[in-house]
Amino acid sequence: MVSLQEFDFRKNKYERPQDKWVCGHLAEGRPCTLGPSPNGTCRVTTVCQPRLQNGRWECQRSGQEGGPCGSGPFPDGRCCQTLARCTPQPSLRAKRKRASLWATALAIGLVAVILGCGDQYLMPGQLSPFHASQTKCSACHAGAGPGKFDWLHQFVASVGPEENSNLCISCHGMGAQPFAPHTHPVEALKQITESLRDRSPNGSIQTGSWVWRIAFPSSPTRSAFTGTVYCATCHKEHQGTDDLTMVSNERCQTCHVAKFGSFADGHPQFSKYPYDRRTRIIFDHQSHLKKYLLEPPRTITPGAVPASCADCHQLALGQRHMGLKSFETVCSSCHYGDIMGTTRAVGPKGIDVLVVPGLDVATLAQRSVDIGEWPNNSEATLTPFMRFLLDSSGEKVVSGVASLDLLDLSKASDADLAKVAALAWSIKRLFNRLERVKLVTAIGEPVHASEMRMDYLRMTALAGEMSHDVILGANREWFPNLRADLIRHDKGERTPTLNQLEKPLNDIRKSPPVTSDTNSAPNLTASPDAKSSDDILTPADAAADYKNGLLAPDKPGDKSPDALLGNENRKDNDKNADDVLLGNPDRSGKVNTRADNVQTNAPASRPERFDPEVWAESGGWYRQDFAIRYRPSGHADRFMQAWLDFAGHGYGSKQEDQLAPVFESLASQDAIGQCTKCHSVDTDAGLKKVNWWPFDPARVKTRFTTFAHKPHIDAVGSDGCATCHRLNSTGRNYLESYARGDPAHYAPSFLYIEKARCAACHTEQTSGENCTLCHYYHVNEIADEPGASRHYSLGHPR
Amino acid sequence: MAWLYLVFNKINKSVLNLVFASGALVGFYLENWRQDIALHDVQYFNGWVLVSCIVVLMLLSLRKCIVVLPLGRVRLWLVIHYYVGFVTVGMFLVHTKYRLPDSPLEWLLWTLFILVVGSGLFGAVISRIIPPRLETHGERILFERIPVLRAQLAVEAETLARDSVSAGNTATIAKLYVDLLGDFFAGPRNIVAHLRSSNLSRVRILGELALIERYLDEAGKLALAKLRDLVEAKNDLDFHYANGGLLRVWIFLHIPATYALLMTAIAHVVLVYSFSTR
Repeated sequence: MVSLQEFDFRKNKYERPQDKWVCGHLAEGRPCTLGPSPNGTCRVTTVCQPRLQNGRWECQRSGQEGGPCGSGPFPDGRCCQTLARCTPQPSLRAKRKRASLWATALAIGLVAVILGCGDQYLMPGQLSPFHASQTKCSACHAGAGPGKFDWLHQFVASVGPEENSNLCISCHGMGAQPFAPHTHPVEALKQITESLRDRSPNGSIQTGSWVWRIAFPSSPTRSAFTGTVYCATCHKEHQGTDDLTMVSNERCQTCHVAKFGSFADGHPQFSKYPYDRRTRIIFDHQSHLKKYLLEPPRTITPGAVPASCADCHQLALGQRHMGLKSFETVCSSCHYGDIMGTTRAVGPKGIDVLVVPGLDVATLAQRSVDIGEWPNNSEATLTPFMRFLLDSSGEKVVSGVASLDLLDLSKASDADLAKVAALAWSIKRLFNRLERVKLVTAIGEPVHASEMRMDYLRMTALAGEMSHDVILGANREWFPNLRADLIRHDKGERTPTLNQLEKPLNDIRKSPPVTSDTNSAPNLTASPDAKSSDDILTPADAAADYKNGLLAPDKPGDKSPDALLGNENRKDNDKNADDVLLGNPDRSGKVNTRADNVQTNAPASRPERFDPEVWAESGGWYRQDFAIRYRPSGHADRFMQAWLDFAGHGYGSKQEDQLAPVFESLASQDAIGQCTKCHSVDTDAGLKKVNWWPFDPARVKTRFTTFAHKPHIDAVGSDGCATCHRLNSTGRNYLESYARGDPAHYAPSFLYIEKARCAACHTEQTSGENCTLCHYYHVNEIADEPGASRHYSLGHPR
Repeated sequence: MAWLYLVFNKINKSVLNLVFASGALVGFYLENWRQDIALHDVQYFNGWVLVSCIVVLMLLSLRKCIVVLPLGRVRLWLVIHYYVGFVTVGMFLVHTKYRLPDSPLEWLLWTLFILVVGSGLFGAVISRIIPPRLETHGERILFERIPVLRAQLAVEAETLARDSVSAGNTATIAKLYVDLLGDFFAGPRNIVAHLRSSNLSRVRILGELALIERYLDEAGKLALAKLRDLVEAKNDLDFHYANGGLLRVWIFLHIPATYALLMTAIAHVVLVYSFSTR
């Protein structure tokens, strides 16, 4: 066995591996003992340095190299053996150091190449698909400039998070407080927290999650976070196709006082979900599903009765919300008659809009109160519409006579009679204005006096598109000499009517027959003129009266008052009496209507009873009983809607006294059209607002929760909608809740949805329970403006 | 507290160190998670912790350079280096979100870190395996003297071969030396085999020697025996050269990659703060 080395200081030299250089002869196995200098130069010369001792030079070669040589030094003291010089080599450590320097230089070079190649190489990752069109860093990084190395400047002069976030909101509209938590006013959030605290047992909010207890041992009594939340806090770009909006449940809750671990365990119970107010459309599901739809009226078309929820409800607005199908599709088969009045047993089917109120004409004549022509058979009372139109001028003519019985003024004082006269003349001026002035203007004057802004379309709706002939015919029938009377009255002159009334009755009877003139005054004391009013008697009675009374055809030599009045054509006129919409037939018989022709040639038999209300069955204006009435033309009648809206907004205004009766007349339980039977009325800041439309989710601009019906509909079982929406059968009166105008006071048709219903499916393993699945962080509607130009400077948003 | 001291003495120190390192890593994960849910940009937190750990790891080199100050034994520092490195790997995974990079600079960072970690793990493993192997394989040999010793063996073998011819014997030994042994003694041989602790090359050469023994007389056999000893010694020398060399070579990857990683990390930090959105 060969022993390679001996560890003896005499036989081996001391190795110095930390030296930077080694002898070049080491590879040959013959390194010198001296070794290179620290700076890498060979120091070797001779084998030894001879020493002079006792006059003789002695070799000093080390024992490791064999001890003193045989030949010894030269006489001059030089060593006789010269070593060959070498090229020193770097030691292992030196080589390692060189390698480190080269590696560092290489890394720096690569970094420089990468940084100098352009923006795309600086990105730490791919942009999300939404922002992939952005090619400049400066689009989102406020500090970045157009130059390649401008970003270096920002390393020193840092840009704040708000400046970067301002670039985000230059495209993404986040409302007035974009950096507030939930982009919602902090005070509003605090109120929500307090309401949650009030609902919690013991008034405190418990942290029910062991995760949170470990992470945040101290239970906060209030949210510590009242500052700002910038966009990059939650939205991390440069993550490629990762969801930019994904936020973990823990991060969602970090600001919340109440923290919990899972949805089923710890999430606050739902409170009045999803109904926090009564429905805008009054529909009692309980009664309909349990009674009406099971036993529909016989008049209903078979197949028109809804059989399931889907027959009335449909997915709307991105298939997230459930909307209602149209009235025509769902409700009209049963309720159309309510609107048109065909189901009304008694009373008129149209709304009295303009009337000639009944006055005690005789007393007025006796007391010489001049009101001109006035039908003396009217028993109509002033309508709320007329009160509004008359009192809006400021004259208060209606309120002045409110305490009087207009049909019996025998005990009225002169002052009262003067008020009655003022009322009468105001009504006449109103009718005159309606005839002669543009309808929208005539109605618009009192409307504009209410200081409520109305556009032209709504004004048109308020006017109801009344035909001119309607008012014209009314005036001709009720006030044949309207204009003349008004002119005389304005001059302070007496009207011919009053003059006539002051003559003895016999004088009236003996007076020359009045010429057939449309301007002639009617005989106010004569028997009721068949032309001026509808035949209110039954057909049988009408026949009797026709034979025996006023309506009987004139016989030759008949001295009836009508004959004395020279109404030779009364026979014809009688037959045209009810043709109210064709104008007042000329007494001279010039008006030749089809009815005249028919009746002239017809045998003398009982005349057909014309019912203008039946004639106007499909809606519109008609005259009946000293009234101009309006009959709704169907669902969503514009006239009804416009007046309900207008009058409802009058509450709390200076015209509330005039408009409130209008509203009450249209919104009462037995009102014509029955609008408020289904359309609820909310009292909002004193105003009365009719809800014409059901809930419109598009109008909700601030939303903390979200729910999409479509995926749930696909997932429910055999119970369908009833899986979540269960009828509320427990003692409540649905309709009573609509008696008050407070939408928060209600009895829901369906039971509230409990959290357990949702938690049955929404677990981490099944349908997921991420906070963002059901909750919005940005509760305001986010406005995206793709492609919008952005103007910004550092620190200043657009 | 004495019982605690006793407990620690009983438990394997490696296990204890591993427990502490794991505890530190868990603590880091927990704090990282807390920072994240507290709406902080957690990448800054775990990034700076990662850089700090890398700096701590580099202190080992500094400790080896500074010998005058009482900074503790290098062995202790090496143990710290090991376990901090173990924790650093976990921090790196957290910082990179357990994903591959997708930009050139991040690829460079990632590659350098993998090189450093990989070479470090390799070095830690072979530092455990090779020294016992060297201890049990022949005599102790200083690596720096291997070239000298190799030259000595080569001279001896050549002298032996020449002497065998001049002594009047056949040129068998000389021929064997020229054909096989001359190259064998010229430099390091069979490195891979020695790294695998394989004896195949040694057996092959000795087999060649055994083959010619029958053709030698007694003097030749004596010479052959000496030659055999020289072959054994050369084989041991090559073993030490291969394994000792490996113990020195792996660090040629570990340390340069570390400095390159440090430079790249500095560039990364500058870039991050330049485009910071917080």
